[in-house]
Amino acid sequence: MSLIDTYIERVGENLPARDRADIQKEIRSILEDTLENRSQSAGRPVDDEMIAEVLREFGTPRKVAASYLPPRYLIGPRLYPTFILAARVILGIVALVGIITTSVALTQQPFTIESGIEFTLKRLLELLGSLLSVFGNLVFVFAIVEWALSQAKTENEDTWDPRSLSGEASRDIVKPWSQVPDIVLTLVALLIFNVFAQKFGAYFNDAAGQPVFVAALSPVFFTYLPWFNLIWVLSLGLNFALIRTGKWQPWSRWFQIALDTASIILLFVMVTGRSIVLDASDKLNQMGYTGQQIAGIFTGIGIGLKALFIVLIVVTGIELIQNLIRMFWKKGPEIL
Amino acid sequence: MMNDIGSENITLEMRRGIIVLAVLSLLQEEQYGYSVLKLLSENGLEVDQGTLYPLLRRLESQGLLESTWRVEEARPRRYYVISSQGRKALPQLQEEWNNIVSALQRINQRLEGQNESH
Repeated sequence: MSLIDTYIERVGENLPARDRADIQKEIRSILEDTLENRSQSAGRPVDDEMIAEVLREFGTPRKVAASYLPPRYLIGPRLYPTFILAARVILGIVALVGIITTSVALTQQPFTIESGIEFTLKRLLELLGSLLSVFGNLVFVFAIVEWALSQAKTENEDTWDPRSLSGEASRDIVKPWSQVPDIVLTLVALLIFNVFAQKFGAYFNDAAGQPVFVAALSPVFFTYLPWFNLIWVLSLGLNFALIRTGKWQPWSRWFQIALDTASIILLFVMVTGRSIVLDASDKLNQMGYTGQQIAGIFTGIGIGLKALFIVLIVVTGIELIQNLIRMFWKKGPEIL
Repeated sequence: MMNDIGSENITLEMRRGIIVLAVLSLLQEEQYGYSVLKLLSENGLEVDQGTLYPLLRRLESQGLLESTWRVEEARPRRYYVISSQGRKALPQLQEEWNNIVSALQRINQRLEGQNESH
């Protein structure tokens, strides 16, 4: 294989399959024309040295391939400032919560210097893992939003009339601060259920009157958690995109409708499926609680949780219906 | 004071800006890629090949140029020529270019006048 063949093959490796063959054919044609001209000017036939010289002038295969491609971003200039803002806020909150909880734990438990250092290092490593995980999720969400925005039709600049702003439905306008409660609640939910879920529970006095911690969430709950995480992270991305764009658009309405639908389905599965409450009957029994008392505790928790899920389904359902009405009834009442 | 690298970059940016107009003007007659590069160079407009060849494809995808592959001298060559859409756009671009040149001349004359009065 000649040097030109190898060069063209390397260029092709950095090109999308759709245009690869055509661009490679064109580059070969241009190289052959250039070499012919160079040979005539130099008064000698084309040799390896001349080929190497021409290829050096063309540039590395990666550079040549890049010149044929449009700019491609994981997170483009349009979303980058919002991404930086979101990363600062979210990573700051996660770091702050991690430092506070570590400090509180250090003051409340009897530590020796060695065990205190070991505990602190362990918590810092956990915090680093959490920060990396949150950062990865943020990049993932923003990359999806970037892709969605690149697919969405852009507004027609030529026909846009600034006077149309006054007629724009006020229900579609998003004030940045209006998304803040949603963002904070979602962040709190992400943090609580991912970092502190194992600490959900209650203290029960044992036969000797000593408080014993009993965890509340069963492994069933943790099978639902990744789906909730996905919904929450996508919801965060949507909220930041809404702040950035300043108004609801068809794609963001559909995105919200999809998220609401997914939440309702998940909550419904949780209401009708296996219990997310850990069966601690044996542990409570050993602590001296009677079967009737234990049944009472679990029945109470079960009813409370089901009631909570039903309320959440109803609230999410109302939001879903509102968004559907806004999508299909463009001139609907402003109160929705 | 601007260094050589800064000056070179600005010159390249300016050339990139006007290359579309130059290419559309040149391709009122059919040419293949390398001949476009040579003709531009012979007329005093040195353009980097890494800029020119992708630009020809981009202008084609925008509908301003058309291309056909032909085998000549036992070698396939892609020939480019201005399209009907490109022919419509060319006078507008030339007018815009003339406006820019006139505007720059007016700015320079104004500055020269101010310098002389001081």
